[in-house]
Amino acid sequence: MTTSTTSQRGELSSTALALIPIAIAINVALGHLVQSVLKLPIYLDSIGTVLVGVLLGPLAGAITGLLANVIWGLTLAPSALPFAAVAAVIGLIAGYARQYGAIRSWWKMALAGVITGVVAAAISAPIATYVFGGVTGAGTDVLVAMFQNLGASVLGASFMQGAVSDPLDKTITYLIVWAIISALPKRLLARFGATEQ
Amino acid sequence: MQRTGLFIERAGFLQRLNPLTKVTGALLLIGATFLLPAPLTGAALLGGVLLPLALASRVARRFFDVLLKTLLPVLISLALVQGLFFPTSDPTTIAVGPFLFRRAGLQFALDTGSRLLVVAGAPLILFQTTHPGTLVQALIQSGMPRSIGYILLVALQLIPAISERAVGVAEAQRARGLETEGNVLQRIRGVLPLVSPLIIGALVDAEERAMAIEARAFNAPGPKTWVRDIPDPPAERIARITMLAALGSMVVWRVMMFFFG
Amino acid sequence: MFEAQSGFNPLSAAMLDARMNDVSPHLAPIALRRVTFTYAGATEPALRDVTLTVPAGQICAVIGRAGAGKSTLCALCAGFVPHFFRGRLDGDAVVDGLSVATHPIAELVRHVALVGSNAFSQISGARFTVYDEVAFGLENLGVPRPEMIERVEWALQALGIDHLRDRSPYALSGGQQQRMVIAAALAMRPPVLALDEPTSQLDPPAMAELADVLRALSRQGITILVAEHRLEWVAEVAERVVALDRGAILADGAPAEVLTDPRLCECGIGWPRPTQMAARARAEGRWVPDRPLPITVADLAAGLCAVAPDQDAAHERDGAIRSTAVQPDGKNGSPRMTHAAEPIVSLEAVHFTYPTGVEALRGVSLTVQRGERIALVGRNGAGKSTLVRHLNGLLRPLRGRALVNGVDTRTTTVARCARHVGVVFQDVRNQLFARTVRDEIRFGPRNLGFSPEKVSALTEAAIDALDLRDVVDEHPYDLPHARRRLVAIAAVLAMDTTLLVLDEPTAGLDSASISLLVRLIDDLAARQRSVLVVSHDLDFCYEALDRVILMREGQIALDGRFANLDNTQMATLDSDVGLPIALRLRYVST
Repeated sequence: MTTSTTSQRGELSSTALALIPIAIAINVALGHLVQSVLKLPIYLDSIGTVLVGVLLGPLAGAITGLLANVIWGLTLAPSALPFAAVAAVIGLIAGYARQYGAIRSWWKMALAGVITGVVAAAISAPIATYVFGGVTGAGTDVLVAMFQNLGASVLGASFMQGAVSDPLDKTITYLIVWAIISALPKRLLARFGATEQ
Repeated sequence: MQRTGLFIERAGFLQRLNPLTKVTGALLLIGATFLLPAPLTGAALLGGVLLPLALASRVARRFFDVLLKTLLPVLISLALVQGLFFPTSDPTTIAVGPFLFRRAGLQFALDTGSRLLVVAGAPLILFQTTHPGTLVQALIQSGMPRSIGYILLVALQLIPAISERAVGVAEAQRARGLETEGNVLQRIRGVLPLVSPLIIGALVDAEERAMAIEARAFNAPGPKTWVRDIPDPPAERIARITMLAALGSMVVWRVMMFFFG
Repeated sequence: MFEAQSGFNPLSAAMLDARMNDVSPHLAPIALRRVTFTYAGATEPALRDVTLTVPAGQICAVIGRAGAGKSTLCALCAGFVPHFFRGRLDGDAVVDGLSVATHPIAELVRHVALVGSNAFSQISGARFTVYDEVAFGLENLGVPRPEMIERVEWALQALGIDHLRDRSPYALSGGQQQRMVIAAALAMRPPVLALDEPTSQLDPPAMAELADVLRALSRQGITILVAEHRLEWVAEVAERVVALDRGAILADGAPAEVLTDPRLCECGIGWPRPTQMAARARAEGRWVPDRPLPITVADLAAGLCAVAPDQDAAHERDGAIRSTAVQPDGKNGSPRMTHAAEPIVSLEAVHFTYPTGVEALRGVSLTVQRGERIALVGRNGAGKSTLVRHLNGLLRPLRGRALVNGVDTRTTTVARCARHVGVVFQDVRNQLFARTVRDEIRFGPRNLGFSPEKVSALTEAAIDALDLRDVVDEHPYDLPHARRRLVAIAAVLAMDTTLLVLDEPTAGLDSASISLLVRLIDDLAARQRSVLVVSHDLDFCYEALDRVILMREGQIALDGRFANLDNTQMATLDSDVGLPIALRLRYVST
């Protein structure tokens, strides 16, 4: 009578299978919504990844991040593919943040956001350096130029650029996820909140 | 009608190949750009391999269109940032107008840029000539978990629908007096009313979709079948083994160079 | 066969009973015996002591108010209760010979298919054509390819979507998607089909098509259980009706008996519209006293005819109809205050073309005065949604002008238009986000910058107007679909705008909630507020509104009052969106 919906072979539950693709689509759609409607300079392109990580744990979070970048590569720009590893780690950290109970208070979520931002910057730096020569083609490249001019190596400048911009974006992302999850209806929390990996 | 990612429905050389052959080829090209000397390899692969393939597959225009559109900002930034600010002990500079470019920086930009064109170009031509459904089916049949394939295909098809829903949320909340055109503070207050309905709605959808997954017996035990067949002639299998062998020997050559060269 | 034996002694009767229980599952595709189910975390059972046996090939409809247990019953028959929605299950539930409690869903899918109301979220999404989508479940079951192809072809034919096989599932209309999802479920060859609110996303033509499909499937021997709130549709399609009230079976029998059962009105399910109209006629002595109440329009017409056979039938029927519906022309027939005040909204020769090149509005002129009750109708794609988005500045005319409270929408913001025009869109999911019903309702008036006292007064008034007092502290998403829609309406009502626009407000609502809306609209009009309703539900429009505007291909094809439509106008309306029952009777008779 209480047969589990989770497959016995350690695969993803049907709930995870249903949520992850939607979260990936949200990553793509939300970044656009916030920028085009509210004209705010925040990306929020990992909000779905963080949401899945916090709700379903590290494995589901990592898969969401990884596949989100694969989808990004499949639909818009194959140059997003090399950063899939970074996105996977963002989801992984969100999953661990859940396990440490970060969801219970806003400041823990903010802290998780800062940590995620720094780690993301640290992992993207070598990829940015060896594949893209340290730049991304966006406005933040000015920071890279500045740090290099101050004497940093390409790798160092790339990391410092990320360390300046990523933690802020990730902290906002985590706080939004916190606000949404803490206002979820009971029924949905019972389905998504209780599913441990 | 409905665009599915980068795929262009056209009959040509690459379109006839098994997706696995194309994936192997893309891996070989990417491997080669990192293992063989730049910028010559990049230029040779782009002009000598990707261009003929794009022409033979009748996607050449769209191929270069997308490649340049996504990479041009990066390439320009690369030339400017690294050309002007590359950390180097080499004092040689090249004057262009009022700017003094560093020779080593330009060399670095050229190396990276040529490599980048192939690293992005190889998967691009793969995606432009392979229907995502076929690609995923081929990958699952050769061992990728079905759940990963499922997630990829669903996400791909959901993006337009979720984007449409995002527009609907913005309309509904603006109709309730949410100011989205005011000052920064007002607009920041708008983030939650815009983001929350989308995410809660997504969770509700996910619950219904989870039911659909169960109803279609996705988790049923036992072997699976496929309604469509993906041809895989022996010649392509041989080609894949050859390409993997080439990639392997390049790696070995590079390791030998590192220790003995 | 067993009667002779069972009559002799109690022991063999007990044996017989045991044997019947053993045998009956094989005889009846759906056999529920004393089933009680309580969701995990709930205090009250969702199903109470339900006993139900459905024979092969029957179309059995389940009706009831929101939250009465209709969906739970469908989910139970397909094993989603208790395998997907957890809880405590007592009693025996046997479907196609299998006990649902002890068999996993993956096995039950070969015996019973469950299809919900929202076709969109039941598309697997993993396949790119209708054909492949229908095959998806069979691939997962490992059906060999030749058999798979044969079954897919059969399912496409059976649902009449063969011509759509190469289309993308996401490029279909709502009705087509619904049929594709049913085809995908039936391709697994289950003898039982459970449908949960299948019409709630469908327009009238799609509803009629679905009814045809279900009748055809039933003739092929497929047993169909359908939970549904549109009683008129149930009357057309069902062979048997089961009424649920708070989880227990209230009535069970032939449609003509159950749908006219007075207890349906007492518990808030209500009667089908033809039945209601005949009952009013009977109360006024215009119905043959011993003639049973009708459930279909044809029976209603026949009954009204029979009452006065020797008089001028057309005139008599006309008179009967006048008084059988809440008629606008008595109290609000003439346009109010046409010259006294400035119109709330006026569109002047508005043209609008989307960036995709679709010419959605081609010269629309329209004014909305205070105290008006307007129905905006038209086929899908006629331009109704585009028109609505011009009423509050969400879209601005490419040519022509749109004035909201006298201000050109090109010179103002949507948030400022929202002070005068409130819009409730069809998809309430896009709107709801707050923690409680009260917070949700407060959001709009607070955005408009009212004083805290005024916000609070408007919020409480809206809560009462939509009968939400008992759930003010609940999360909107913890409510049944129907009440969620009422919350969305209350949230815009609380903004106290002079014009309230409702897009498909009756979708998914039971008849008690629809009556609530009718009263609300009456009350608003009495307070010089205007209401504009976009709806396919012509009967609701006729009952609650008086002016009707028909859109066709981006233009207004008809703008008049229900009470004054002549035959040509009725023909125009009929050809595009159909007629309300009351007008249909009048139109046919003349």
